[in-house]
Amino acid sequence: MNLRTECNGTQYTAYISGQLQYQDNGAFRTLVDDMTEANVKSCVFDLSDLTSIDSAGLGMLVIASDAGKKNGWDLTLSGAKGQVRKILELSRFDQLMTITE
Amino acid sequence: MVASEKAEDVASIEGVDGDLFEGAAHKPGSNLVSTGGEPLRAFSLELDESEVLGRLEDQRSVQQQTLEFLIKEIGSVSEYVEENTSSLTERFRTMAVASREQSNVVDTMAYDVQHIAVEENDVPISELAKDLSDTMEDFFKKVVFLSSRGVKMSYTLDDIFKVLENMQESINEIERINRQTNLLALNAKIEAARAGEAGKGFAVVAEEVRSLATSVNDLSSDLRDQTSRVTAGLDGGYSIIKEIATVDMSEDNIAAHERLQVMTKGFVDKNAQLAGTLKRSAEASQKMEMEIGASIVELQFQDRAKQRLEGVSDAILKMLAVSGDTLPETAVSLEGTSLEFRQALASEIANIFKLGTLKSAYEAEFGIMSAETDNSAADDASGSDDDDIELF
Repeated sequence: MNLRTECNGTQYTAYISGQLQYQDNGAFRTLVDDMTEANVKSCVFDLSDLTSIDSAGLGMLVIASDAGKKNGWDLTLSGAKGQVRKILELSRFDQLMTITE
Repeated sequence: MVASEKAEDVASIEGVDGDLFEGAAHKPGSNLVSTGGEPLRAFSLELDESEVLGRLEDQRSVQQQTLEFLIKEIGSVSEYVEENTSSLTERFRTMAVASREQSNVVDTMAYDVQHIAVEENDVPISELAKDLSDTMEDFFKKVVFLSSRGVKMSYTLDDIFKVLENMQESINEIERINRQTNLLALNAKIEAARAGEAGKGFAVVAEEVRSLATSVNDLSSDLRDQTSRVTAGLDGGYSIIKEIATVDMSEDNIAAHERLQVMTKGFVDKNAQLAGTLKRSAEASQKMEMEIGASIVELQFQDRAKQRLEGVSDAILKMLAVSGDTLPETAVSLEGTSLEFRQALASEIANIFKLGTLKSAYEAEFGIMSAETDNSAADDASGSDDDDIELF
């Protein structure tokens, strides 16, 4: 996972690129903690450049969403393409969180 | 066969044949007959009164015989129609039954292709496809849930590792302090030795402290050993959790699922198409059955036709009876009548019949040889079984 983040005071955006898999769980945990600490209502995972994701990656997205619910921020997944988009559709992630183009 | 029946009837009619005719009712001028192409008048000027009566009797006789023949013909036609109608009705009934069976079979087929037995229950195939899709979705959701729990678990393990690291730090600290304690004890021992006798008691204390430090050292190395083992065990758990949390969700796996979905959809669509075709087929069969039913009802016209023909026959019979009753007894003079004249008159009437069988049967009534009377009817009359074929 390659990560770049930005926060404009009201929205925290994380640009996640490359592959999201189990090995990234440590870095991802830190990211989620940072999001909570940023104290904003809206967080976005920009997945435009994410090429692949495995079940652990999906699990991490679920954990992020759960953390948001617990700490008062909404999670939006945006720009997913290809395999990532298909797998999000198959797993019905639209029922768990907001997904945008 | 028909001809022979007719022949019998002729005999019976001739037996009853009284001299029942009223000459006054007849118009002599209208009875123009011909034999062998030559015109023949019923009444010529040369005839005397008895001869005129004889001619009248001849005419009446021919009329009666003709009417009897016609009644028989009507009866025979009625029977013929009845026979064929009942045979037709029977065939239609068979068709109706076959058509109903066919429609039932098609209905059953339509049901069968749309359902499959699942644990003794019939499940529509369309639902099956949805079930399959739902099951797959559910499966994916569960995998994701499991993975998220796995990742969460590894977070917990990470936290434990941090605690273990802290413990290691603490052990290191204990060892560091212990080393200092040991050093201090050694210094105290040296100082005690230098103090001589006065330091003897202090030397004992210093020795105790040193042995205590050794014990602490043993304890801490034991602690370090156990901590390492816990860390190693958790490392194993960590890799197991990784295995649990990580399910391959590459393009190939998704493609397999997509192909399954496409195949299922194709199967369900084809199935619906087939069911539609079968439904149309069943509808056509039902329509056919209805049409056949209506045809059977319409065939009942024969019964009414038969009754009407019976009415006609009865009326003719009544007419014959009436004319017989009114004829005076005195008119009996069959002796003077001419067979030749009657046959000529009958031949004239016979020419009206276009159907060869009918014509020759009529001629037989009057003992006329068909070959003599008509050239075209001769061939038809020779065979009695040509009527069916001629009808069509």
